[in-house]
Amino acid sequence: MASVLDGQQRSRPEGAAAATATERLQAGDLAALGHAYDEHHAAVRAFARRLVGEAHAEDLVHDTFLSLPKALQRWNGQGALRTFILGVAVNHARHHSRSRFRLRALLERFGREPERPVLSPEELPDHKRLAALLSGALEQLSFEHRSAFVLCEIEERPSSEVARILGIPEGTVRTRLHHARQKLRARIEREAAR
Amino acid sequence: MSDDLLERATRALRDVTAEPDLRSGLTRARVLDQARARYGAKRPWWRWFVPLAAVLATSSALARVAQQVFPEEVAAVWNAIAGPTPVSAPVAAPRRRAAVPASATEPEPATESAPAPATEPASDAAPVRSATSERRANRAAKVRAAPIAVAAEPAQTPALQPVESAELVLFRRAQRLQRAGDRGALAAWDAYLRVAPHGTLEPEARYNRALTLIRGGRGREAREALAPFAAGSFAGYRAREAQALIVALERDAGVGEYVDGKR
Repeated sequence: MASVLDGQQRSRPEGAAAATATERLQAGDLAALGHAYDEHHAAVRAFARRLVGEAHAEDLVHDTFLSLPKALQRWNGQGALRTFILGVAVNHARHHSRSRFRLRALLERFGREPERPVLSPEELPDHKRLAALLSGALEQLSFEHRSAFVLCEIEERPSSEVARILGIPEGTVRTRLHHARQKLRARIEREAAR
Repeated sequence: MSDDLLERATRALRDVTAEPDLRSGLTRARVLDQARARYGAKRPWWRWFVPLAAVLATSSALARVAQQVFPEEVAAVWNAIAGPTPVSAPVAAPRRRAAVPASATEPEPATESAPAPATEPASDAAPVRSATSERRANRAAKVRAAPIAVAAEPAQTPALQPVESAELVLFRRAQRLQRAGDRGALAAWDAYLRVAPHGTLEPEARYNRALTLIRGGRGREAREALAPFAAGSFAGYRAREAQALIVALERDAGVGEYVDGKR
């Protein structure tokens, strides 16, 4: 069943209910926050796992929902609430990605191997092996390219919604998606040829 | 080939990451717990205002009580904090003046215990007021000189009132004793005349004293007391009565006639 808070075409009573829920959320109402979590956590968690990986997805979900009441203070009410929540998750992931980039650079400086999954792609079944391959390749991308690819290709969201989530023009979304595809293709081919 | 591989990998990642996570319940609990601390712990204004107001009210009440119960100690603390305060001369002077009439009545109780109650309030009130004003002066710390000088002025005016009231009380007391035929009436008139030898009621007091002497059988003293009245020394007040009384007294005593105030 579709969420009353989600979707672009909401009826008037649904819109009013969403406004009430949003107001309660803005006021820091715990029941409203719990309800929002139940409604959107699956989508946010899936997005987080695709964007920052399995190990940090829960932290990103936690940070996103915890900061949601405060973040909603600046929401103008346009678009779906889920789109806004994903935008909040993207902002948190950007900071998270920076810190991970710094950590990776630090580890490389000290001659260590970058973080790797516990199992090598060869040890996984074909389906999971491909997923792990793409996940590793995504880690090598910049945050801008990665977020565009995850939202457009893996989550299959329209470019207009992705543009709202990322806060950038649609043309920029398409450009980033194009570059992300090129880089990922090259990396996957290289990995698959090994 | 590569497009197909990327597409398959994308589909695979989509499926793998869409699986439900068992940690979602734990994360939910973490989120709500921390949100309760961050958003739900807002205390209404009265939750901190009421205790603060209670503390302020209690401390000010304690300070007031301490000033009343231990004024000197509180003044000492004030002096220790703000330094010694010079007590201005206008403060002490009127208080001493207020004490003068009280001391004037002190010899009176030697003859009789009766006048004491009338004069006692005046004599007690003055030192108490004086001590209180000194305490107030000591309590004053920084900018105290001007307020003290202002406060001393109203104390000066009522300080003169006890003199008049004491004179009046003594007069009424002597009058009451005389009407009652009390032996103490003579001493009461003497006490009044000691306090107010030239008071506004002096003629009445002297005339009544003379009458008391007559009643006491002290004719010679009565005649001496009535002589000024008979001579018109008090603007003719009771002059005729005094002359008639002197004639009657002399007749009683076998003395010559009284003519024009002279024997």
